[in-house]
Amino acid sequence: VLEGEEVVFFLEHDRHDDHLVIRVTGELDVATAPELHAAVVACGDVPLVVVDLSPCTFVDSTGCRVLVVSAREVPGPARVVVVCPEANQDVYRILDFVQLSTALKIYDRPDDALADARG
Amino acid sequence: VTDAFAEQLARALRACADEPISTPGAVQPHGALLALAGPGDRVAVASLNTGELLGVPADALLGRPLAEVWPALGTALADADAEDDPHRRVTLEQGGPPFDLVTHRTGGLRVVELEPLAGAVEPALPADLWSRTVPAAVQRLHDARTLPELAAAIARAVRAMTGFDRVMVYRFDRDWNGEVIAEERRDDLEPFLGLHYPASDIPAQARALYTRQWSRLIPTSDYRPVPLLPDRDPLTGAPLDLSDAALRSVSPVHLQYLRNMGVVASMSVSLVDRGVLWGLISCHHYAGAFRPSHPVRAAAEFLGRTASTLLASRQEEGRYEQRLHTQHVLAGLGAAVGTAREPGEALLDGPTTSAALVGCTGVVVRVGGRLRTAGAVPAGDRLDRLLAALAPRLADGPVVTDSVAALDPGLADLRDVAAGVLAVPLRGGATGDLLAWLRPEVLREVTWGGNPHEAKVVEGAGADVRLTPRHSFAQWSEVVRLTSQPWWPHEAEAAADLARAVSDALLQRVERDSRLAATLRTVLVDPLPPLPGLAVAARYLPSQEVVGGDWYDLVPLTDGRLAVVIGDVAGHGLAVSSVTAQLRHGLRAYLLQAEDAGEALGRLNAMVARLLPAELATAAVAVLDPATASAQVASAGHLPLLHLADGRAEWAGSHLGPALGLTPDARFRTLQLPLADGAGLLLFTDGLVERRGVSLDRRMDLLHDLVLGAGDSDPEGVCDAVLAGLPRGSDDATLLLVKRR
Repeated sequence: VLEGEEVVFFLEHDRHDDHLVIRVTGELDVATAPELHAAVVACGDVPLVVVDLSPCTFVDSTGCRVLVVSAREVPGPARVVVVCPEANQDVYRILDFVQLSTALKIYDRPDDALADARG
Repeated sequence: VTDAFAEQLARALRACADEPISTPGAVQPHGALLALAGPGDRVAVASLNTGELLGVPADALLGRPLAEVWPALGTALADADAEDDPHRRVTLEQGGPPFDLVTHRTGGLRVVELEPLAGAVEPALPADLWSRTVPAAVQRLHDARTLPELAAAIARAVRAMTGFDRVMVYRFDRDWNGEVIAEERRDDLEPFLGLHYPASDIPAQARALYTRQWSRLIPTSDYRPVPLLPDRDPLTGAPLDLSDAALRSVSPVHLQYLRNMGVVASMSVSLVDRGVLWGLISCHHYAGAFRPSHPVRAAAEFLGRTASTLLASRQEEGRYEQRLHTQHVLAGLGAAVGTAREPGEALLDGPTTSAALVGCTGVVVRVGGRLRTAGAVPAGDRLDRLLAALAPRLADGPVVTDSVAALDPGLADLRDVAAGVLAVPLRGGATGDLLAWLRPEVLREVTWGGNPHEAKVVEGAGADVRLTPRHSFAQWSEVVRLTSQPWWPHEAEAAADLARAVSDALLQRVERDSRLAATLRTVLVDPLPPLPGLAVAARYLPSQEVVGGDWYDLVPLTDGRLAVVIGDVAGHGLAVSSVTAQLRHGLRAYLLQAEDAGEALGRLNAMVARLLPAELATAAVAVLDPATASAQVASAGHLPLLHLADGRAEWAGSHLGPALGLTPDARFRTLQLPLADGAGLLLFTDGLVERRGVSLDRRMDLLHDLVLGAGDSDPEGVCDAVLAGLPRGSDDATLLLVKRR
């Protein structure tokens, strides 16, 4: 919560063909990053975790870090990928400047990520 | 229940609460009361039974010095004053019947009460009372190791001493309901042990009187009150205050209550723990009148006072093992909190957790605004709602309740995880920091001595409506819902102790951190050195305290070149500052050795990947070369810099390489920018332009325009203009402007 504003942050979990999609709504920053980290590393036995930032309104450097770190710390064989449409400029621009794509695959839509996983 | 009835009941309850129980204007008939005024101790008030008991009618006493009427009483009062002992046994005249005299003062009056020994019950050997009976009883009270033993010893001793048919030790709960925790009775009487009595059986004003007057006696519950003459204090015109009078006439409601229970004579002695009414020694007699003599009552009161001093220690000793355990856990947690990187973590994740401190099924910890939970806690917004309900109450100190639903009926649905809560506020961290322990609902059966919901009955009609006590004392059981196991005082104390330890640790941390931070700051950002041919200005604005994850640096290289560095480690505050320091110094060393800025960033990236695997940072380097009037720019995921030349400002230097720590074998390209005299570079971190709710591009446009608008100002002026035009966000923000003269 910043300057008295009501800031909403929540995660939604969805299963698609054994894959886990975590939808991130709200602002991913130093305050909320631990929650996403916990959710990703607790994914269980799934081949793919898709972190969908489509409804995410803000990412800072801590938010970027948590994407990378949770992808590294995820147990078992799971792979972590990110969804962020270019239209979500507030988030996309940050991921782009940081060049997050050198570490994590970034898709436009969750379906693209899932289709890619199916091969 | 109709509205009219509810209104009547409310009026009757108010009338009961307003009943003038300390100024009834009458006394009980078993003694006579005189109030004396002035230096001559003239009789100012007399009870109307003086003629019957003392041989002189009240109206014949008024205005006369007491010592003139009964010289023996004058002497007794003088002795009482001299010995500072208000109790005397006197005869009014030589060879007359003995009276027990007791005296006290109220307002400007001296009150004298006289009870004839005739009709009183006294031990066969009165001298034994204080030389044998009382000392033996006191010994037994001291021998009791636990609270139940102490209560039993009290009941036994008081019954043996006074001869009442039944002596009960009554303990009040937080809501002033009473429970019989010990009892001695005539064998043929039905036991009352374990029964509960509703708070309304003893109204609040009566309880207030009980902490002041330690014992009360009613020899017969169907007495006729004896009025006082006059019925007012002649000095003040107010009704005479009989709060301390042994003969004070009691409320007719109370007498009816006793009669309904079949009680003829009743005596009670207060049990007071550290100034608060804790319980009563309640004595009943079923045939009478029954009146223990004044010395016997004084001895019983003495036992009550002695027992009162023992209550606290016996309650505690009864839970000695638990206390030991609590202290052990507390010591462990206190040490862990003092040394932990994060106190909240130490409280829940350490080898000893706060869940072990107080018996509970769930724990909620908020330290530094960060919420952590363990065990069973309400889900999501229900937990928020609970915390919101606690917040205003925590401003006044701990919240200890075994019924959250009583606190806020809207929280009744939390019964399975949080029917009861013990919460303590924390200081030294963020607003709203707290420790809270939760307990689920436990259904408890309570057996009352009569239905507590019908404890008082309204009688009469209209303006005459009044309360009358219940008639039924048949046992009545009910199941108590929406409550948890109660929290023991030692548990609340342990919680408060832990909160104190955590608060101390937080405060010490603030102090330690600010000292450490002041030192670290000089490591992260040196004062700018004078640089020939350059004008430089910098602003370093960490979000917390004095250091953060940002850094900047100026590194002189060979051939007059200068590396200008800016960087940003993800995260805030002291914890991240040590990482920042490592990166800053690592990059310095690599810049001195590497062929170009891109290679230096490559080595720094390898260092982060190998040695700081959980970190992410961005950095930009511009190597200024006066010989070629150019700058070589490299970037690791950093925002672009602003290239100032010929009255224009252009973004440059982004997408030259990924952030540090993203991938171990990243390559970093370099970009050559012309930098003639008067040209400059503005480097900054994302905290300057990132703002929730405002697009990054708009903020960057704004920055661009502010820099252009500052025109030919010197770098200090440009920095000021930029900061004035871009309100701070919540992140660290750093700004560095280098211009060739």
